[in-house]
Amino acid sequence: MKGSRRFFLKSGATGMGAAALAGLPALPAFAAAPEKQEKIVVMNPRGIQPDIRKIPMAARPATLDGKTVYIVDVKYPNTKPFADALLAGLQAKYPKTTWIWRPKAAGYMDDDAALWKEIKEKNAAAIVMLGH
Amino acid sequence: MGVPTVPLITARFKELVTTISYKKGIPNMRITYTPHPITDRPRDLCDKYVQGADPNTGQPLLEEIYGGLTRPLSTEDAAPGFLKRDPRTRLLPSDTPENLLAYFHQQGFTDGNAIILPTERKVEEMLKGTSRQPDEWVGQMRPSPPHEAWYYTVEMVAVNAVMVGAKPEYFPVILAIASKGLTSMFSSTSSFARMVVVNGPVVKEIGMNTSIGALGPNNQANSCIGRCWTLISKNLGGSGKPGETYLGSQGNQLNYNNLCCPETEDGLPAGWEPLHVQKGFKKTESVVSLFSGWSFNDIAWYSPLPQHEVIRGWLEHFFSFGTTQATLVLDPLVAADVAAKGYPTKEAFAKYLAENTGTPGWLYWSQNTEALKQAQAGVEPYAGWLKQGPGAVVPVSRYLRRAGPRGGGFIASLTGKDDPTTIEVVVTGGGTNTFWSGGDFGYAGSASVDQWR
Amino acid sequence: MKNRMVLPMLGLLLLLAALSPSPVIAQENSSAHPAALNTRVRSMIELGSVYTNIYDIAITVVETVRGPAAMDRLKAAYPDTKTPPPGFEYALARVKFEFKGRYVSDTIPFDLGSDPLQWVALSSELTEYPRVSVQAPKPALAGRIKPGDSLEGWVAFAVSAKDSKPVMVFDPDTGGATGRGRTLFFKLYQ
Repeated sequence: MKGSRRFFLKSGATGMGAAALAGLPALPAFAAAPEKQEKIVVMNPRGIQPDIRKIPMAARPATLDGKTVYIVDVKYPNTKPFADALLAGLQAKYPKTTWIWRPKAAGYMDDDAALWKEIKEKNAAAIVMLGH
Repeated sequence: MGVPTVPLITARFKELVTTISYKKGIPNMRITYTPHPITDRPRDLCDKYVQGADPNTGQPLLEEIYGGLTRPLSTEDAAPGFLKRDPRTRLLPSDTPENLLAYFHQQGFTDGNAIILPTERKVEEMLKGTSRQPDEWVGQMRPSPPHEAWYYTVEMVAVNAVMVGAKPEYFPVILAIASKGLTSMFSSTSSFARMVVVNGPVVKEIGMNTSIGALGPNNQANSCIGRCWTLISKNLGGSGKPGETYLGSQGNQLNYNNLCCPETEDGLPAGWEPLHVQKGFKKTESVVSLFSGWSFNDIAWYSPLPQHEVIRGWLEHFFSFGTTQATLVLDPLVAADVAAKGYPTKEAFAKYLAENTGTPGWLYWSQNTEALKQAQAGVEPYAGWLKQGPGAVVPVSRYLRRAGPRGGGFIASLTGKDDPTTIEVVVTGGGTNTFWSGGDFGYAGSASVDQWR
Repeated sequence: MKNRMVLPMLGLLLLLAALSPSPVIAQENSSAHPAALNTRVRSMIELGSVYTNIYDIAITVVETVRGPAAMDRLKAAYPDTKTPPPGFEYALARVKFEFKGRYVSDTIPFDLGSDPLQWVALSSELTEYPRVSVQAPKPALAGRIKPGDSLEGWVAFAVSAKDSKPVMVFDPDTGGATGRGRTLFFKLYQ
């Protein structure tokens, strides 16, 4: 402490020196060079991510002419106007394809095995929509 | 499934859907985006969207859908196998504490508040709080069902416990929470919240605050344990990354500490069992119980009505997300008043509340469109209810457990016991006034702390 | 005092190591590090609806048999067993599956063998072998097990006769488990 007072007065840091003279606690001496921190090792806070098993995409037909496509609607609240607009738009633009709008059963995170089976049996394709 | 499929998603969720599809194993999923939002949009606007372009690619929307279903697959898209992932390292590259702290914050390892850097020595100290081996599995956790789950060991939980400044004696409680695999940062646009209640001897052993300010930032154990659940969720459960694994539109302040509090078992009226005993544990066991909801009210109001009536009235009109479940956190003074008014058990009080609350008309008629049609067609009792005026309370309770697709209302009873209501009651606080709190929290399960000592 | 204790302690440690079961690998299992034979791999699965609970499992591949020896076993159990496709041979694995709940309320059973995706063979390049319709020798690794039980039985695959290092995968998103759990990898060779 004594040393630091001398440092302030000597260095001409008049503001701090004045503070010291005014009876306020002296501030610690600062080193001339920036503080150098030692490097440390810390542990990884993250958990383990699983391997990602690829799901090959289904083969595509060359054209949808003559085929059926299901528009599977997960029924997010108040999105029926969009579903109607989509169905109408697709029917108008691609009239040689059969477009079927079908709501998925139960909640939007529930499975609908019966619907998937129907789509597969009809050799159809699917658009899955939508939220929010 | 083998069916050519394309998803249609709103443009706001591009980050989310591309990372999820990669993690699901379809790195090049053919996604078409629409403008956002599409909910509550009128038909003429929807027509414009459909005839317009994908906001992300600029391609005509309908043509992009068609192309996604017909364009031939690349070799990569058609082949099975595994996608490469960088292996996890146990230690991070060495650096100065200042740089490491900045790194932890930048990487989203923290909740934005100060942390303690988890050196090996500190983690070793934390591990003394349990007899479990560092490499034992504790759990797996995901942000929400479509997301991948991450896995974690005792040591990994210890790292996060060090970060929040927990003491080793808190560690079994933290491990018990982690063992449930329930994220505190559920990924939904609706900004979920969680709650954790601690019961049993461990409460006193580790000096948790069950008295004045029990729900506030007044005690190291209450604070650290609740906060640790959030860090565990972010770092061990892959949760909490905005845009990717967290979508809460506004976020939720309750996520900082997850309403961590002990139950004041000494303050329970005679006949009112502690929460963990209600859930099938012995009184002498130490247990954590987890809850899920969205909102929490702190009711500080004087009324000439008895407390149970005030609570009933609040429940009837309380609204947040749907709200078909509720947890009351009563100060011991309020619990005593309620018990004295003729509710000898928590269950009796919950039953009274559930059976005597209706649903505000505006809420009931907007959610029950079939009932509204019947009312308008003159079918009773709906017609009679509607005649009271659209604002009148409809005598249908939101809090009675009913048969549903999952076998029991919004949430089937998790204890297997006869549990006719979706109302839970917890008692905590210092008795400085007759105030109480409540929220739309539903019980999500309990775990033994003793198993993790 | 300290020095006199060291040797006996060391001896005790060595004895304990020799007597203890095969090392339990908690974290290392992955497609790059499939578990060797007789390695007990611990993991977890999730069971339940709405709020799932974590159950602990342990899987050990106890024995593998392939080629003519596998064919003999299959024919002994089911004389009508067809020969595998050209270029392929059968590979059998005898697997021990242990299943444990954590709390008294964990009572949901797990179904083994009900889903063809539960146990899948991969080539040494980690591409999936096509599924073949063949009945595993008795006892098959099939059936419903309750928490606290274990089951040991055979699973059967067809792998390329030239592939000396095929791998078996366990997919926990089967048998009634929910969500995508941790895929586990096991060597189908010594």
